[in-house]
Amino acid sequence: MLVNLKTVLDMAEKGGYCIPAFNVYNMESAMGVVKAAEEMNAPIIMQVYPRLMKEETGYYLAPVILAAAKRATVPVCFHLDHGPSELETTRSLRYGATGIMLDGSTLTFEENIAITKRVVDICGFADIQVEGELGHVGTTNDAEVDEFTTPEDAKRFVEETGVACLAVAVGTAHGRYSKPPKLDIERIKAIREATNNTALVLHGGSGVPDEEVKKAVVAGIRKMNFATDICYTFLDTCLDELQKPDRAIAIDTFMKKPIEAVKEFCIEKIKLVSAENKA
Amino acid sequence: MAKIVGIGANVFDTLYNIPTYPTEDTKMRATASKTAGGGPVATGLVAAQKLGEETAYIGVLSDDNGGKFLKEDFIKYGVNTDLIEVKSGYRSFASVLWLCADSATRTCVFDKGDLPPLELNDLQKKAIKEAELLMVDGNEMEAAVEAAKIARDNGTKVLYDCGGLYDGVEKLLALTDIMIPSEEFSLGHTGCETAEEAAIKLYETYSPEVVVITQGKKGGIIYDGDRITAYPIYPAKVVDSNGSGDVFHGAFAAAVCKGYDYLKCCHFSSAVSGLKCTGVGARESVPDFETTKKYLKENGYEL
Repeated sequence: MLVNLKTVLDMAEKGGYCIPAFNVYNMESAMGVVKAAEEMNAPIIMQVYPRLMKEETGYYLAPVILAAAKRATVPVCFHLDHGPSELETTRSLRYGATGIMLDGSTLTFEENIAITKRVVDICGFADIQVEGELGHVGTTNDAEVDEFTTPEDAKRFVEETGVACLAVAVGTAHGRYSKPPKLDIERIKAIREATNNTALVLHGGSGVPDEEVKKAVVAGIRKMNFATDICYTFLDTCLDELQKPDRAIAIDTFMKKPIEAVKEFCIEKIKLVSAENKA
Repeated sequence: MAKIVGIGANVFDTLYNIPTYPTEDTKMRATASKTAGGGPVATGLVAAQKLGEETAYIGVLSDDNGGKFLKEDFIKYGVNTDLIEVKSGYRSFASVLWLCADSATRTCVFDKGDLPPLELNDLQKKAIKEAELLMVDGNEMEAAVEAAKIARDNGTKVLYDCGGLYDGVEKLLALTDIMIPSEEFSLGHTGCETAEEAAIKLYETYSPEVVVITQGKKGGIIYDGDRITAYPIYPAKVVDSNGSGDVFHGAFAAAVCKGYDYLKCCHFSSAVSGLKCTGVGARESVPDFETTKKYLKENGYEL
């Protein structure tokens, strides 16, 4: 069933676990994600990059996600990942998104608060909650490590914007790591305490060692994003299939393996964040 | 069920034609008088109905003379009244208009009445879910916002006739697919200096499918996130322009239901609005579809 961001975050908070947020890019990746959630009886988030909403793709992809979410036997939130401005966030509302991320982390602190607050207000009119980001979670290609989120800034940010959850910089990055990252678990705990137990979000979840993920969930991470590894899983499977002499030519038949691979990947991550049998 | 449903002001107008503006504390005989239904969405629904679309009004009316007139007026034009809740013992939203001949002015005194606000019932919610398009005008704000959320969740497009800068308009703007503000509203809400700037600002803030800014005798502009295009007014001998904006919005709703692209909707609505001005009355002089099509063709535009 299609639910909003608050619903899944409340479930995670109450149960002391984490909602896995899987980025989807096409119908097949969405199918793999939902099949995994149903098989594991887990609440999940399906999210999309803002370019998919800004370009023509959103027109086709959003109805697919909505249909899959509504048909699902488990709670599914349709979320915008890394919305850079009001345009993408309100367009996502128009496309039926039930959760919105406004990423103002590359702006100054004051600018970030101002734009996030505006988006929280606009989304609030549609009963949709917002994820903010404080402390830039860069990419694995960045030359330098960005500054981590401080509990003091997080406290002020949450109080002044009214976000439902907050993405924090505590040691992860987007992309594939050359060496496993180490998370600042104590910082996660301190931010939780300073923000009156606001749900925290970990971006760049692909490639983080399982033990680190488990500790982060215990410390208060309530949403964890998996994007890069879904792409690799999907594309690697496609490449493997293409090498086979007896590969299917009909695209729907060919796609069965990549869908299954995405499903298996998601099942692993659902278990990792303890979301199985929580729907 | 109706393709177009609407929530908004529904006003019992009494119009007096007077030769000159009266001196205070004197009596004056009017040269003519009439009663009529008014209100942006209410008149818009009549226009859409006259243009061939099935419409229904969602609202609360009194059982006083004004309320009875308004309901009968809808029935006269074919607007479905099944979703109207009639409440006894309340005063209708009513206005008195002086149409002064020598100064060509329009003076209005209105009483918003004391009807309780609309609270959507199950039947009304169902109609919104099943409609193609919901029209709102910023009146009955709380119900309109709830209706727009229902519309959003069920694929019903929301057309907002943005006229008054009421409290909370941003709530409706955030849920609007087809945003049609007056130039005054667009500049007032955005703080921009030109309609073009305002159209872009409104689009980038609220991401509707389209922003159409009406500019009265100048026609208007349309912005779809790609380019700004002007649309014209179609020449007409103006007899009575009262309600022409309301009719434009209703015609736009009808045009959307006919499957026209948004620029074509502008041309169609502009022609309907222009033709309406050739007769007396906001509602009775709304043309039918074939008349509009012919009029556009005569003016060099093929539907």
